[in-house]
Amino acid sequence: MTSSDIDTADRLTRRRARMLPFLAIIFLSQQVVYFVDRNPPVRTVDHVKVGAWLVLSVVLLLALATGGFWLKPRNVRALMDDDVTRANRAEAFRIGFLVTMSAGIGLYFLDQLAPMSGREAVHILVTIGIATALIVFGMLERRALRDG
Amino acid sequence: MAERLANRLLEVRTEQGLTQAALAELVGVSRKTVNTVENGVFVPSTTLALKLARALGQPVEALFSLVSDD
Amino acid sequence: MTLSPVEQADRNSRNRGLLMAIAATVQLALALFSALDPAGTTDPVRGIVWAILTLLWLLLLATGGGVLLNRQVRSMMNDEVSLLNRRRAIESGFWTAMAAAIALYFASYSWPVPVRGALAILTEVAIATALIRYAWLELR
Repeated sequence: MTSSDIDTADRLTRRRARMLPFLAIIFLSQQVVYFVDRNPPVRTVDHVKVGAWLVLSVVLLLALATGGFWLKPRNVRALMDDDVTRANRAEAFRIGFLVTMSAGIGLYFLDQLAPMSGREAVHILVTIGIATALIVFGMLERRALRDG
Repeated sequence: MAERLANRLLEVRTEQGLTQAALAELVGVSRKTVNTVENGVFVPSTTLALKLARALGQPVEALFSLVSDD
Repeated sequence: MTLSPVEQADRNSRNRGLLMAIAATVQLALALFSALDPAGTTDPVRGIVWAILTLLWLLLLATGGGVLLNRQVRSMMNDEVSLLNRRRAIESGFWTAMAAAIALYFASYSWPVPVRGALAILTEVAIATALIRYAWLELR
């Protein structure tokens, strides 16, 4: 562990904290595309869209779970995944879970006013879950870095 | 160099004739927490470590230490 | 014989763990019913019961329960180890929710489950996972 590893980890931690809320906003805004055209996917481009959503969702979930920056040295990644970050991540998952479940209840009753398919509902829930966790994680990391 | 937290909680507690439940009550935690800290399953927060030390009338360094696994 | 606060906390924590295990079993049974009879999930009474149960379990997972208990006992029941167990349990619930949602998404191409059925299955399985993990961590 060198001082340059510590500096690199600090720099990347700050970058991650800045990026996370933006990733959530980008992810959320991209989902509009799926709800503008609500017909089942029949064209190749429709299947590509769905595949892209799945890949992006999985990548974001992996980034949340591991802290991202997979190509960086292990020492640096270990510094970026310290006690505080792990606690922040756990809190992000906690809020993400509670919000997703609550949204599930909300959608259940919203369906009476604005009918939707099962597929659309679970799509919304995955989006809400991931976006919430990203935003909470980002906010907590930024708060931890303040006054630094 | 991997390090872990070692503790003398069991030793000091039994020297003072306290049960896990009695120590837990003094500190304000469950008996399970005292048990998991003694067994090394759970790493206590700084606050809890200080509370345990205060309850046993010991400095915290007398209860907890870092040991290298190498 | 009056129990000390620690003994009360121990007993209540064990009971809470058992309650979680039973609740998880009920949730999984409900998820199975939802999967076998998705059309039944549109029944309004069933919907209200489902919503109330879901909120109840979420409240238990979020707070640890015991709101009517003595503050000292409640504090012991929700100490560091219990909070850590609850966080781990909820994390498992989160991952199950995401995996179940993605699985349901793709299953819907060949099994067009109605929206309420999908939501019921997803929340029941996710909450059951969180409850089971919490029960396991608390009772071991």
